[in-house]
Amino acid sequence: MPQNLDFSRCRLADCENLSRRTFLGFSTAFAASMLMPYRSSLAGMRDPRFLFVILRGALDGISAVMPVGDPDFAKVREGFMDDVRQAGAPLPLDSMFALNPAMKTLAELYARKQATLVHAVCTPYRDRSHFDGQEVLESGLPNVTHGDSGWLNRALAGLPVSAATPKDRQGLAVGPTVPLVLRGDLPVMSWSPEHLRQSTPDTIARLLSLYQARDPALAEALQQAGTIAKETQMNAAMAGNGSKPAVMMTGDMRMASSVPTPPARGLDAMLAVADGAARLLVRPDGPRIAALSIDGWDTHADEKPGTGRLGKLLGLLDQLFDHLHKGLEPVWNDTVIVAATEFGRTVHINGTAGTDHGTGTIAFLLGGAIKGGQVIADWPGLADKSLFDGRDLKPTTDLRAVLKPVLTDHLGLDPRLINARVFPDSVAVAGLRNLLG
Amino acid sequence: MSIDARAIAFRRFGLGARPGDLDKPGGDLTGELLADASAAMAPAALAALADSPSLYAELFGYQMDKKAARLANAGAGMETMAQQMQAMPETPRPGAAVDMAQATGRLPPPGPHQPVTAVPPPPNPVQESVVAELGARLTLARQAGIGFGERLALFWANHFTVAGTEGRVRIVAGAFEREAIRPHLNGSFHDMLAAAESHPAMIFYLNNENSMGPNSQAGKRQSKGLNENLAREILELHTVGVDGGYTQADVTSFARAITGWSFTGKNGRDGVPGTFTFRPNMHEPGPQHVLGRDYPQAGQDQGQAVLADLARNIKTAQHIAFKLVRHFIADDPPPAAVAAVAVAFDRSNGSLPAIHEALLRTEAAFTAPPLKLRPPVEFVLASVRALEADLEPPRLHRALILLGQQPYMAPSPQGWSDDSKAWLAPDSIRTRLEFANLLAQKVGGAHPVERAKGVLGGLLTEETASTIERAETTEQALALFLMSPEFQRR
Repeated sequence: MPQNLDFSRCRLADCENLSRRTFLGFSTAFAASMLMPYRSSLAGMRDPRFLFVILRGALDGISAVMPVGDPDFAKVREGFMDDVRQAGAPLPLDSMFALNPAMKTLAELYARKQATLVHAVCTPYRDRSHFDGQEVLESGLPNVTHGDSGWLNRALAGLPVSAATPKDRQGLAVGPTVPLVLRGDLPVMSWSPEHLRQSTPDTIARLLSLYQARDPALAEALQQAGTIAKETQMNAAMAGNGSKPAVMMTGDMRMASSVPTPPARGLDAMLAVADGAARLLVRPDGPRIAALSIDGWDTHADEKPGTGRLGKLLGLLDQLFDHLHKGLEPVWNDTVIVAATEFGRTVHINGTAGTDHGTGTIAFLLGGAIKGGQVIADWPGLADKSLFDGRDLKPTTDLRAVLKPVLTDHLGLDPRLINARVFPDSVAVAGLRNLLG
Repeated sequence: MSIDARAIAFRRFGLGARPGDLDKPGGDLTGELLADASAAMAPAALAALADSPSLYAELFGYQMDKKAARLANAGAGMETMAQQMQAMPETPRPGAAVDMAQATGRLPPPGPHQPVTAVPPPPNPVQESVVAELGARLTLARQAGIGFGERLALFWANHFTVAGTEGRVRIVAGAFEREAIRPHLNGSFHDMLAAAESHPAMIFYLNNENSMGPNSQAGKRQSKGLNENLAREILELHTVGVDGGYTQADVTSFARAITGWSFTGKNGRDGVPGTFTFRPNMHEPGPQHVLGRDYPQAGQDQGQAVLADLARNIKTAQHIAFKLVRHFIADDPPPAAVAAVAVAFDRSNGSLPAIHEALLRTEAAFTAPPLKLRPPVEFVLASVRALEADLEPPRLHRALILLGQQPYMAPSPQGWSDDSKAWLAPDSIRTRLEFANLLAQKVGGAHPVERAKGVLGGLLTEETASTIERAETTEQALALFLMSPEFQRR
């Protein structure tokens, strides 16, 4: 199990003075503890993890989870079906819905009751601007305010205290920028895989002292980066290095040795992101909540949900799920992953074999803590008279109804805090039942 | 000590000072800044770059060569997954694991790692054009006076973002800026708008090339129709803004008005290949109604009439004013400054020099505190100017990828964020430090404090000066200077 090996090596990063002998002992004991089910090993104490995946650009929900049992589906999407069939048979979920053939991992998790899909879902946003739509998705507010606080950051404030991870290390932004959903009063960490850490601790210390004197915001950013720098440097130095512990070198030698692989692009880069996020999330003293984004869902032209642009993107998302599942294995039973998008796309295909901005769409939930194997939908139908504004899948479930039980039942937040701070003005939006196992 | 207006001008409105820049006599700063804008319209450093039709000719040729090579190798192996993914729309933060040492030239770039095929694939003109465009702009950044013109070119090209991995957008993304943005820096907003929306880069980026009216000749023959992407983004992002008061009906109607705005393919049937063309047979016949006005015009005139009205709309003036003040002055723009720029826009009928001058003459222009973090492209160019460093264009390209601002790769039509908080991620501050470190190691040189004084003038603080002074090595001193708050912020 390479994940476990990586994990024990990551731990070593915090204990640079351990001798090789101690390291072996440590890692053996650790591996042994891994064999036990996580929950029982903690005697009933839960230590939940949550990862929010933002699908930017508006995902065409009925191409991802196809309502094949709806008699109108074949009519409205006739123009896509040849392409989908070329990619393979849709993967049946129940009598009504089938999964896009690109999403085999998700189908497997669904069969193992570790994935659930919520359809005809949308945030409270009802216009069609990506940017405003993403703002509502991330701010957790009922409308657009151009504020600078995300619901996940506010949720962090109410997270039950963890023994191992201090408050300011519980949130993790995966990528070079912090997405709005994690911005706000509480500091969060950020991490992206592509960087080589090369500055000496001395330069950082000098810079930090200058920032502390002149610029608290930069000081805070630099300090936050410092806490995870060790981890990434370790990863770079360790990659492709067999089972030997890291040997720290200096100057150019260290730089040369810490360039482990050729530049990753596209798929590889995304999967490196998933692997890195998982490695940090499984650490007992690591973050509990993370967010990452995947762009590119804005399929106005040549959408091709089977063999083309959307089919490939869904395949990428599926592989991302696969990597997260494998990387999070040690904590999988205590994990919930939600992947959501700002809104859906038009039900009818537009003039250029794509779809325009719409409303209702799909949300993906996976993880061992999910009560899986369900497609939850108050299905509005695809007949013209059933469409929202005569063009979009009508939203019948508020995305906040999906997120609320994750925050309360999974992460242990006080429901009152959620209505007051995390999702203000949402008392009328009741959380979905039976979402968590 | 009085404020150092000249140093502020270089930092807030330009690309940062080089040593010596601040010693020149003061005089009319606003005049100097505006002259800079004129100089950016058709600079000599860009003259040698190919125009859009030539770039498209290269792309068409490349695609044919590639196809030929693929046919020749048929059976030799499928396209790898990685190659397929490269052809896809961007996944987050591409170019990932390129490393900063390579980016700044301390390590050779890695060798090619494509699968071996019998016939080598032809060189990709898209990548070549991006690096050529970037190289020319690096030269320009070195040559520019204060750099206000270059900053305006960056601002307006970002306002009219064209971006992404798609070859036919990417290969002309730099040409778009040279052909649709720069020539109008001293003209009117309307002219820039009209040029941008009809440039092939924009037509492709926002999918208008095949959008056809359902009742047009072509629309009736084929089961194809409207694509509202370009119309929506013109309203939402380029003109009146998301609060501009338009409805879905306005978007649809405007989309119909610009049906037929398309592109001349390589066969050259409708004109010079690789240029804009209007296709009457795709244009939706009949009048349209957008934002309360009727548009009875026929053909291309109809869309142009809508654009002309949008360029005059007071909401457009307010939207542009807000964006300019937010970009140049403060994340939370002072309302008085926004109002002043919007009034100038309105009174001058969208004359860009008048608008730019109003921006420079707002009270906040020289008094607002320097709280905005320089975005990566400004940080990198200002660093190169400050250290008078050599940086080869491919390495500049890699550095920008690592710093999260890959050229012509903004994540969405909204462009790069103008809100500095978006750039203040812990991880990216560390990456900036890596860049500063490696650039400093490339340059070396003595007297780092003198250099910092020359670049920052009266803006250099005691704390930073003494931090630089106490550094262990010149390289460390220069890195700390580039990372100082007064260099990072403006």
